[in-house]
Amino acid sequence: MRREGKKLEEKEMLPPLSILHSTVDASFEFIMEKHLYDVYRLCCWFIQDKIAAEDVTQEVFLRAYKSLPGFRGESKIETWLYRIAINESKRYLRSWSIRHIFYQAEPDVHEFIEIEEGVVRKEEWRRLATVIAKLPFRHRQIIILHYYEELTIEEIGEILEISSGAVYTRLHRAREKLKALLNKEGEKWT
Amino acid sequence: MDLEQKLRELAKHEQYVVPYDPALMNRMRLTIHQRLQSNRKPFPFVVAPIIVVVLIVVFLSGGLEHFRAGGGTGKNIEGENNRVIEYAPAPVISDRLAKMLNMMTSYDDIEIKKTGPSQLAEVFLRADEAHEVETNKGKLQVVIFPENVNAEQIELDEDLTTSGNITYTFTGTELKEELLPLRAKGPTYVYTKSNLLFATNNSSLVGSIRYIFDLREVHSDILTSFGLNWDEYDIYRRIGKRGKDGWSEKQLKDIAIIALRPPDELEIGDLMPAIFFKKGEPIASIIYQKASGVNKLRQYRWDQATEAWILEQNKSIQGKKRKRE
Repeated sequence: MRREGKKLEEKEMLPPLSILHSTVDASFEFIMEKHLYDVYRLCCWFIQDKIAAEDVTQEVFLRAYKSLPGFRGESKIETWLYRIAINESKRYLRSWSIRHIFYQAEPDVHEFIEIEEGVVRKEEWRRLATVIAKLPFRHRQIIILHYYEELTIEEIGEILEISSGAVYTRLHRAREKLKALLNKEGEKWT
Repeated sequence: MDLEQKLRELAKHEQYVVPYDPALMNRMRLTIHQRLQSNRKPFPFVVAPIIVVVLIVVFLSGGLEHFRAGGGTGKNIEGENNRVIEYAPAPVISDRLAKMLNMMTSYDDIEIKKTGPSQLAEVFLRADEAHEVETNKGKLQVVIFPENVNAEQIELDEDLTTSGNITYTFTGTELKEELLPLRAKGPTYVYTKSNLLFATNNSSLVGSIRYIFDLREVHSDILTSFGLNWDEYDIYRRIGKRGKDGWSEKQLKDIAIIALRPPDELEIGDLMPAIFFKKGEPIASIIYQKASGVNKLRQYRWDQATEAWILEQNKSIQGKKRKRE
């Protein structure tokens, strides 16, 4: 259920910064109540493993709690949480133990609903999802934020702390990379 | 094949594949609290001897006066810039406050500006906690009692006889007498519901709180009568007020039009239809109550292919008949 042209600032009321300082626990509860699911879903998309996403989501909120009094309010709470979620997901995927010790689950490319969608379309989506899961993190993150989360270029720039121009460039490169991988499989994607 | 189009189609599908699971959310929330309380982290045993040496050196140099004095709880967490955050482990109570603030802002135009300790914190002997909530409509004292305490028995006892020296106290509960009577600049308005007490000097704010709780109770009753859990839904009141968890403008406009045109026409005395979105699923439930007390539910599912709300359920059930003003 993502929005069309989602505006982070419109998303919801949040206590102003002063409250975060004075009542950290209550504010933290409020933030968890409002954003736990959003952050969990974002982590699921990044990590492609629901169990691991659960752990990473917990880390995100633990980190957020620790940093809450130092949160300067220069960005929206959602932007800040998404930034932590991306960093924690990246940290998880890059961790030495994940790459060397633990069994890494195949990307969770779930079943598509056959009743509602044609078989051909379903197959296209499956192939596309599989290739996206194989993209380098920097490309995958921009695809997820732009298409799955439906964030605007400006919002993505704010989260990744880069300019809008840089977001456009990264998005273009991610699409090109995706196209190249898909075309390798013998189909013509434009 | 058009990559842009396929990406957008895939994204629409992906948005539904991680359903909102209240049990999972609750479990994660509890785990986060447990971890905050215990401040558990995998301990790198290699570092232990180094830490011991450092601690001994610091202790000998007088840097641990705080711990010598017995002030260390071992439950503090170090924040950024070495700022130590006191963690008060009261997850259930804080959770209740968060949910209440969420309800207040979902049902009304109330905006929370600030929260802090309430002047009533020490007054009620049986209260779990008390907060002062500053809203765009005025300040509100919120007192939360344990679940088994009926705050509706509490009454305000005000002395308005001396202008400029208005005092008040409460009856029907145990109070800390030495803090009484309380002083106010003007009349105090109190609203109690279940185990909650709200006090404010703004009559319209107390009216809003009463309206919110009454309406919430009716909605909860209607949802429950159809076997639905209020916690799994978000009420939707106004297009454009919020991004409402990702619903598109078309989805919102279309469901609002449907809600206002029920198949059996609305009559005087009927409750206005309310739209509830299911968390994590493309489902909208429109509920209302006829003047006769019959509860109505129409449940729609968003169909991505046709970009339209498809009616899935249309149910009626006799509910509690209510007196309405």
